[in-house]
Amino acid sequence: MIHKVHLKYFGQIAEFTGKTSELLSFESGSITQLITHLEKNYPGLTDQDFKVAVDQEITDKNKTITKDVEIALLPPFAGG
Amino acid sequence: MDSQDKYIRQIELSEIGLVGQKRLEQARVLVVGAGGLGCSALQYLASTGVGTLGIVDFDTIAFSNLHRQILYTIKDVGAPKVTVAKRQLAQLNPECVINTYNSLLTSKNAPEIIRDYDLIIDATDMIPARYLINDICLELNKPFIYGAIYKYQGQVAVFNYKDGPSYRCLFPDPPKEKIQNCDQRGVLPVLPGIIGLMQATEAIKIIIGFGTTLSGYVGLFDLASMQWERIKIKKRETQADPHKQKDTIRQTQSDSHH
Repeated sequence: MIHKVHLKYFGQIAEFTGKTSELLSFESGSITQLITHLEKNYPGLTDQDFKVAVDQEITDKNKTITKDVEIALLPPFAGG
Repeated sequence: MDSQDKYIRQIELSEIGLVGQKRLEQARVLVVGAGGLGCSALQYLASTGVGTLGIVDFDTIAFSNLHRQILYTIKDVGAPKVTVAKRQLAQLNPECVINTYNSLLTSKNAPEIIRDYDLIIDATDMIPARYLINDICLELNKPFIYGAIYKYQGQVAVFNYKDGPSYRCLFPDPPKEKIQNCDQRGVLPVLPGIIGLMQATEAIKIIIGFGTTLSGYVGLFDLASMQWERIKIKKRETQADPHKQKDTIRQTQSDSHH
């Protein structure tokens, strides 16, 4: 089953990927698998510090994507 | 003119009224960091009539601070931030009691400073300080309002409020790599202005007791696209034992001095 994933990148992650959002198709799998998949386009992404939100909720990376979702990669911010 | 006249336009709001104004007058708010976020939040906390404000900052005013740290003027360059902030805020609202702490917040002084206040505003630009504030607030059961910025984006949240999640529920451990701050990455001055005001807004809501706070969420604001969203955060089960984590964070904090 193929799902549409709307990815949103924040802070340093947006800088790392060079974009603030993108759409991609992803076969059923865990969030970790999705990130591993993204690693191919953005080598080093898995070493970055960030939390994952699925449909506006911070979610464990072991969770499986079972529908079309919006996924945000959210790093800590340090500016003040 | 008495103070009621000064606040008449906010007392007219049914959610505030005289009762809310009295709560503001009795409130004690600590702002850690008198930079971009702090300068913004402090001005409105003072003007709204918060009775006691504490300001913690160890830094002096630099020429390159002036574009966003709007409590300071060109003649203040080189002076301690807390001294100038206190002078400016006293002009804005002479009734506001202002306590200053011209030092870095450390594991040594944090408990005794934080203990004296009802709620804490984290307006720092240092991640170790954020974990320190979080852990001491957990220990002392104080809510704290988090704000942080990166280039055109800001994060804001209310942590440790009414048994809600803490910063460690969002980011359990300090990042492996250093996250860059405004001095390293650049910042558009209006962004700390906006995020600092969001922090002040949450403080005022908590003090008066109206509306819905950001507790349980982290708010994300993007200046470039003008988009705002709230991401839900769950409370971690391990949060109950902050003592376990204390040693680690105190080590991290002391490391940052070198």
